[in-house]
Amino acid sequence: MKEQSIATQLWYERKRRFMKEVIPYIKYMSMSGFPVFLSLIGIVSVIQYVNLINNVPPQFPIAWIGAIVLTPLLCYSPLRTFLQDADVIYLMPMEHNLTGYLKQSMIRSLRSSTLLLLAVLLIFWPLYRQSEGYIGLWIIVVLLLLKFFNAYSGWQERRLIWNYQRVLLRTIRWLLMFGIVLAWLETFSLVLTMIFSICSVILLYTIYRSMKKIAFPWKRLIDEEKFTLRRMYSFFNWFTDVQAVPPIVKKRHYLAWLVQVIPYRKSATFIYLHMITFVRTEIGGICVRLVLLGGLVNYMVADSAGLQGWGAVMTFVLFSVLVAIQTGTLRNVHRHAIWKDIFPLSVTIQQKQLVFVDSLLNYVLLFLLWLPTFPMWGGHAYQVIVMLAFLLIFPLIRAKQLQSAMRKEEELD
Amino acid sequence: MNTVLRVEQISGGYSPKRAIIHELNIEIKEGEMIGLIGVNGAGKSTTIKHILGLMTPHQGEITINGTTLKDDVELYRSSYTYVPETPILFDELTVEEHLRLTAMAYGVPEEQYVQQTEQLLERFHMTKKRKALSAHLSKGMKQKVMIMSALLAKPSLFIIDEPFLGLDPLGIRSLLEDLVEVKRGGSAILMSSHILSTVEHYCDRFIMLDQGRMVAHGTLQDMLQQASQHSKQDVTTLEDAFYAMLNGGEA
Repeated sequence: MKEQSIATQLWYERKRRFMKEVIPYIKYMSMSGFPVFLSLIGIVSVIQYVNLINNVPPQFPIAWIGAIVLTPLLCYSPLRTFLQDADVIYLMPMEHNLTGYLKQSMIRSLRSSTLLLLAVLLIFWPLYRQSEGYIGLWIIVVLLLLKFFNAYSGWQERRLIWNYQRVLLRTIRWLLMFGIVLAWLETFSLVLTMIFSICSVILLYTIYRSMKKIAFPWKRLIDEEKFTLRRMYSFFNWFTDVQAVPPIVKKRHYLAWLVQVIPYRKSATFIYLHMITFVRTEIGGICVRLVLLGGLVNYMVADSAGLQGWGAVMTFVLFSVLVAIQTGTLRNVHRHAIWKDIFPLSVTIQQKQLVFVDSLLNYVLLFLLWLPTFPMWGGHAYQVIVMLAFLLIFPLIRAKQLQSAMRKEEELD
Repeated sequence: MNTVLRVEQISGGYSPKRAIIHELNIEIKEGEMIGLIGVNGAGKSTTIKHILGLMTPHQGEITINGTTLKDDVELYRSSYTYVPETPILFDELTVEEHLRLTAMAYGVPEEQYVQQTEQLLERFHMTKKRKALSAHLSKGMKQKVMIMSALLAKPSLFIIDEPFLGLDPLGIRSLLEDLVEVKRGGSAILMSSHILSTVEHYCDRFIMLDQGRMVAHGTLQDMLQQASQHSKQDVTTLEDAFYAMLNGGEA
């Protein structure tokens, strides 16, 4: 009992330490104007959403949109454990007494992800009320039950021995959950929907029960914790210099071909390095996701020609800025690498090569974000010109800003 | 033979008020291999950092092929390559990409790069690991990548800090054979090492540091003679000489 209580205390102590570490960064973030920027986007989105609620087209796929939005929130069950590498040595001996520690993490995770799910459901509610499958407050009960089951499933998947099993089961779970949510939102037949849901849950439960599992997945939990911290610090890195977190490196063959195009010559040395870095680190991964998401949003907004075409301009600019923020972090990856001071290339040349990579990436990614706005190219010439002007000028402005930031950093270093 | 590295009256350290190395003089000619020896904290790494240009000396001058860092940064840096004690690789690059990056930085012609890369990968038993990310390599393999990169760059001066740490016997043998080749090719080598029994067979001259000062220098014979004057016992190896000079006559 005493050891359980020590473990719980340790959890609170670690949470307190984490908050102490993060609060200054939150302050920097709030002073940066980012919340104002988000508020503006929020206001514009609310206006658009209210318009949509008041004039829902007859064949509008409410259930599909609901399933797309709600399923990730239902399935995603992150777990903040505050575990560290050294815990494998110091905490592992008292593994059987860590129930209290883990319980705190699970309660916190379930509470926050459930609140988020309910908040999004609340936003979705006015639209949902107009759908044919509306079943009133029962949908909340269903989603809450599914949320609990997903939290349980997430923990069982973490305990699986092999990673491929985890990936496979998670994919199956997400697909089944999408089907269940869609079925409940459509509700063609209440009985069939209920049978489908119960069968899916029983099927997953049986699979989890039958598979070999680890009692306490130390490595997986520590890796997950590192991943979460890395994400968080990468975000704060947009606003201020934060402690160095080693980047996750993945081969990413689908992007690696980009690097082969770079010519073999001395003047391209750092272009080669930064391009590989972009491709293999999370920066490239985030940019790909942003372009896909931004492309989809731009297409949808351009297709509906919301705000007389200015809606698409706004979403295009928003995603362009987000992409640029990501490419801007590239300079921090090798900022303190010793080889910068060993390789026979002057600082000025190295900086020029980084600026070139940043500009190139921005031109290509912004162009990819602009392409899906084609539905409005015919009827909104002025808005299209504004977007093109932004596409051409924004990377140039960024290049200037980047050069000046690097000069300042050089003086500081 | 031309002088490749000349260190004249160098004093320096991290703080401008406190020097770690004092009035050092080093000269290395083409085709020479010099062993930099001394206990931990003797000033070997600080000396190397000054030569690399990572630290600015309080006084004195360092030239490589007659050029100082101030004269021409690119020319100065292109004249040397460095193998650090702990391998420092870019985690995002594979073994092959590391070699390519180094070859590009040093302006190695592409054909030469392609040909030499194959040879080096084979000689260091790294062919199967050519596509592996640096982050996934063992310490010994990382060290091999560092050494291969240095050999690929082939400048006139090799600065090598504790190269044998983490290498397996085959790796050590390959490295030593390559260093002999490098010497024959006319490049100079400055190597810091604690493995005295190995370096005494390969280095032409030695520089022994203690508390940032040069306490002995010369060929193996010179070192043995200097040590014999301090010691009452027979001094037959570099290791004996090292102990005799540092322990006040006790070999």
